[in-house]
Amino acid sequence: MADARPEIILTTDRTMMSNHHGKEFIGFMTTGPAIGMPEKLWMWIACPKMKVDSMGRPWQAPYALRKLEALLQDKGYNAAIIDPDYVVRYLPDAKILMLSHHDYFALCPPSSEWWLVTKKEPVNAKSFRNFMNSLPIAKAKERGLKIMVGGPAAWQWLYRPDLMSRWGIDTIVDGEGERIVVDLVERAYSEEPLPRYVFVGPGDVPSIEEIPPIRRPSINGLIEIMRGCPRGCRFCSVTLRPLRHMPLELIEEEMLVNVREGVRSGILHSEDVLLYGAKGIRLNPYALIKLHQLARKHWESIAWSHASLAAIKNAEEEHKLISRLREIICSEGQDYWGVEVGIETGSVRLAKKIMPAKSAPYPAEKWPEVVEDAFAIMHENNIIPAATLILGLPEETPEDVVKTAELLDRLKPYRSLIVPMFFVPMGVLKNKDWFTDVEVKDEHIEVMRRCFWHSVRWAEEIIEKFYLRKSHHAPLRLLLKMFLNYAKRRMKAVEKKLGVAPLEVEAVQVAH
Amino acid sequence: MLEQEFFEVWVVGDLGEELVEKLKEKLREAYRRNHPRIRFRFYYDDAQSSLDFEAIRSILLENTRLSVVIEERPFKALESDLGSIGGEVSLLVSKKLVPSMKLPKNSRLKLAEV
Repeated sequence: MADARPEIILTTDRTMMSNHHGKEFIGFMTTGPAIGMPEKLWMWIACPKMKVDSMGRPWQAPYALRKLEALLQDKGYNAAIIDPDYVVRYLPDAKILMLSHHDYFALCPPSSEWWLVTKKEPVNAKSFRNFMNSLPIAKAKERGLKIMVGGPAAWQWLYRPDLMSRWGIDTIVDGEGERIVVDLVERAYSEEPLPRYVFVGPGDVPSIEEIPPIRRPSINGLIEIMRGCPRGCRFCSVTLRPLRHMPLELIEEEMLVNVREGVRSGILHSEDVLLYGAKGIRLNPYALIKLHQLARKHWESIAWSHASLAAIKNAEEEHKLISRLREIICSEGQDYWGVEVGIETGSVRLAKKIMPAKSAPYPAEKWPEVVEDAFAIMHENNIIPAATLILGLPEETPEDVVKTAELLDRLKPYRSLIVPMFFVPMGVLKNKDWFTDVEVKDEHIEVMRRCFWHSVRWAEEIIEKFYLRKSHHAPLRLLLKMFLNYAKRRMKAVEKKLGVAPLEVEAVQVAH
Repeated sequence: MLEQEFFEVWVVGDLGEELVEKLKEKLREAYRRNHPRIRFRFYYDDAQSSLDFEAIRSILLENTRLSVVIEERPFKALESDLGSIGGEVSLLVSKKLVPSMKLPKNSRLKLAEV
């Protein structure tokens, strides 16, 4: 787009349109309510405003919106991502407003359990609602504005038809957008009726050739290296889509888009970064080394979005690959990197039922060992994982939850954050009963307590020695430490009220 | 994507339990026949009517394999839409509305009263 007023506005609310001080993990604070401090301060820590140009176009924007922006601009449409604070400026002339979000109504983990535990609405849902309410939508709709909503949380609109009517949402798009969005835009421009709902099934996902390179920087330099996942876990929606590996040329082009505009660090995004270039789950060390050499060439620091614990163990045991990648990543001033990993359960019985291939190439019976070994490998190689657990999975028994608690005890010595999440029906389990419909049991509380003390203990070290150790991080470091102290006091009070033995006294034996 | 071939299911009448079950059956039929996509099109007599997402949500959440498109059309457009059908269309009509409807004779139109 030149400097014309955009006719197609792509946007989202502040909790998504922020680079979280360049620290992706701080973005998780947007999934909770303000705790122990005023909401304004919480929002400043979690999602400070993004730098914009004179038109209100953000310096960095969510990657999925960048993809759609590029797609529409490539097709000749006057489309642009606009910062939420500037949308109102363009609404009077806009033809289409496109919205995307990871969690519109805080129904996804971890927002849903923050909400359940604190009884307070998380800031992401609040911020999105305030943003929508701040727009003069009724007037724009009278003039013919069309509103389309999408992103990973598109399904949530099915639970809020009231808000669809209130805000005049025309179309929900659930799934990869490349093949459908241009059709919808063409219909809107020719004033043909729009479908109310579109779900893009596995047969209609775009090929690599149909996925355009982004034209402007993504949040924290995030770049997609793969789509889909071969592991077939039953709770996951990504696994339903075919696996596609982005070519290195496309990856480099997007790295350069970011670097040219001053985003010099990046995140390699995939459901399992270690499967880049793999055949099924058979690792491809050559492809991974080439990928990381490329990242090292262009970026000052490298992070991974997600990796599977089985691939971490397999990579190190079979190819010494984690050590080799560490040599590439931990150079030129970088000495650690972060990643999100999924433990999900400590129960072999449940693992075999819902994620039989997550442990591959190791048998599902070995899942707890795979988790522990992978944590040890990450600890030794300065990889800091943010791990998730899923509580309330269909067919979960109290014994399964006890197994998870036992596994947590074995993970105590390893530097990590562990976040319990309540089951949200996605993937092939998406028509199952929702966890929030059932009772939170004592075993769940026990697991949540263990996760809390584990994460708080390690968070202090991670903040101090890794994540926020530079002098310009001092204010943020101080605020986060204050928050951790507040959270510890609150948890102790809750433990006292529940009459349970405090876990904090069980000092962590740290494996340094 | 919208111009591709769909397994067409058009609906006239209120979305009661029976009709929702029928729509689920149609979804399963599309699976069996290996269709990659299904279109549910709802016709309304009243311009103020809109899709009952509460009723249809279970159908949408049951699906993971097919592309799904949901459209809403005014009832008055049904006749011309039926006149121009290219492939097979399953038309699900509420029993109480059937007597008042004039439907064209077309071998590709599969009528079901619900």
